Amino acid sequence: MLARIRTAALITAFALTLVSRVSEACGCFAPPDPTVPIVQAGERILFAVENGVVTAHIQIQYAGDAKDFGWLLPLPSVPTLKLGTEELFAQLISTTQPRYFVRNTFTGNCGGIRNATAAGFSGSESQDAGSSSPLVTESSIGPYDYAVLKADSKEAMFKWLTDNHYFIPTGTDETVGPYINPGSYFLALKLKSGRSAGDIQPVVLTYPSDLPMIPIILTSLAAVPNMGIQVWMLGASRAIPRNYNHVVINDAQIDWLGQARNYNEVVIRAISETPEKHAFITEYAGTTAIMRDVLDPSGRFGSSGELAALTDPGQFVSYLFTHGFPNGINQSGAFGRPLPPVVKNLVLAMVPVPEKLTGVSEDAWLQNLSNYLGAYRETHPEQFVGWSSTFDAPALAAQLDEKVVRPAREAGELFRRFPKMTRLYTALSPQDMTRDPVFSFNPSLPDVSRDHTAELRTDCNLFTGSQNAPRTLITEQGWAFRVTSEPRDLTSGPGALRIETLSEEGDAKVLVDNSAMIDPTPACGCASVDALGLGALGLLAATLRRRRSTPAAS
Amino acid sequence: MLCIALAACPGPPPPNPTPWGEGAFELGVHDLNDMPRFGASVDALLEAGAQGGFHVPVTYRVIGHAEHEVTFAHVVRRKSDSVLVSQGSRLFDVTGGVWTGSVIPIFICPTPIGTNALGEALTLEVTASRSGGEVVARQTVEVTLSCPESSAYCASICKG
Repeated sequence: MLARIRTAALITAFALTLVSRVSEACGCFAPPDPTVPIVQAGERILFAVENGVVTAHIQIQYAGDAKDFGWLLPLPSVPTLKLGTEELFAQLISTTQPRYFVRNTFTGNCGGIRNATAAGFSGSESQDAGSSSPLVTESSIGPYDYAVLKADSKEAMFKWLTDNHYFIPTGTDETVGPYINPGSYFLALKLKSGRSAGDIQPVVLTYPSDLPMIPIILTSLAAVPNMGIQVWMLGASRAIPRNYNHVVINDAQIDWLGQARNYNEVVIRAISETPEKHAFITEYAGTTAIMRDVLDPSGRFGSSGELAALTDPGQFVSYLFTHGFPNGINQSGAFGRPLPPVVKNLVLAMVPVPEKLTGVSEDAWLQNLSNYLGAYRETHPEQFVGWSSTFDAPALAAQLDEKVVRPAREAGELFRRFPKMTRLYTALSPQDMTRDPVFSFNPSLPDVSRDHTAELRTDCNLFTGSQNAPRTLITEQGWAFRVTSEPRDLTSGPGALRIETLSEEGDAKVLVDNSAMIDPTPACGCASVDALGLGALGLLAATLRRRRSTPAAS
Repeated sequence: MLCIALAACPGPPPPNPTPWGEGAFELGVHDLNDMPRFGASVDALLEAGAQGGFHVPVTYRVIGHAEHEVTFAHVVRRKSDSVLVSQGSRLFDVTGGVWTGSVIPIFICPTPIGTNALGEALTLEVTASRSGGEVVARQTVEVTLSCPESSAYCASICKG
């Protein structure tokens, strides 16, 4: 049975009435459970907005042949294009991921503390008009060739892309209409000849614009059902979805005792309950301090000059391991962690694994490069027959600086420049991608924590030990239900607690409040004491009354 | 940054702690014929921007003043109920006297969810202020917006 807890004091009052000794809640947070259900988001973007300029870090996710890779993005002006870093998104996901904890409390004498229920993490893890060419500029950056085209004419733009071997996804012709306007532009990317899908890394665009927008209509071409879209917004205050609804999920539907594995399903259900299924959930809104010095701690990457001077490949690669290239940690144990793909591919292009060196992985080769090129090669020369290296320390150092160091440092700087970060998430199916979401800010809205805690209360009494004592789970929003051996129904209630609109000033405007649907009739007893405990109290009270009424012997 | 398109520009401006004064700052909204109108009330056509959005084109005209790094902050509200439609700011250098800048796009659509911006009076207020926050000028104009005839998409995203 489900009941809403009105005040925490009510729980305490009942506990004190029933028992002579209150076993204080351990108050301990259960250790986080690493079994996080990961949701594969189809789009991940970080926007930073300041003074009419938008900087967008866009993670490009692609699996397929390099020749079939094509990426089109409409833009309001000719952008500045740089390379980004995958690590930005890995760290953002990790530091802002919603987490669901269960805190164990005990009332009465339970005769020993029950093992804490494991807490769960929940991830949501989600070209020229007329006779001129539409081409404005074309160049290369990192693994990409790119072109910026005027978007005056769809036909001219498509012809240029086709003639220049840029892949145009099927269906683009039908969806590109709203973005074709005089004065607008398209950025087109393709992979350079000889590159693979494994070389793909994020891109960073900077362009003048009042507000950031995601051209989701165009994305519908490659979308899958309930595709996750994760957006991080940096700015002076909390960000909002300007033209989408906002939803607060009903945490009674979360499988708290199951590591919140159904988090994404609850979010999808909540969004499906909103008009046109156009809604975002705010998963975090708060300080950017949680991301400061994460990508660019002092000393990470060492010095490009020092690296360029290491003409021995073994020493060069060793420097990478000991100066934070694997994961930002400078420690001797870093050799246990592999180099990230971008770094690994750059090094292996110059120092490949010998073909005759069988059974040695690329990671093992790099982690033990000095040994393989030194003592091992001396004792196994036959395995290096035909092998050659094109190692060039200054060139490799320069490539690493362009593709790894500078992107990480520039991304890291963002979190010192902007005080607030907001993480927004939605899940959309292709048929619902009919409106491009735009994001704005509202400085008067409160922060949103990524951490959520429920209380699992065990009510021990004189007649039940801890094993048989009734347990009640009280969610963060205050919904309480008895925990039994029967699995709880997590599908019949609403996914959304509230559906609301957020504007650029003032409080949220509630469109739908499902509180009454979740708690139609407040139930009593299920969140307080059980009948057996009440019966015992009644017996005691009756005994005391009989003693008082028996006249003392004179 | 916008800059003067005049032939003879004077040198660096002297410091000026006082507001610009009456008539120094004019706010022009491009009308249905794409001409800047510096009046109290204008019927304007929304222009398509990139990424599927629409904006109202405006022009700022500053007469007799020259300053660096002036913030022009705009607020657009529905006149009937003061509902906020758009707000934003840009930083400009105002140099050399009479200044007719390039067209500035004021973002309108997609409008905030549930907010219609078409066919009813909106107030567009622009406030110019120095880096220390001192307001030097303010102008307000009433604007009524409509979509280009050919764009059903514009109507769909400008009605909230």
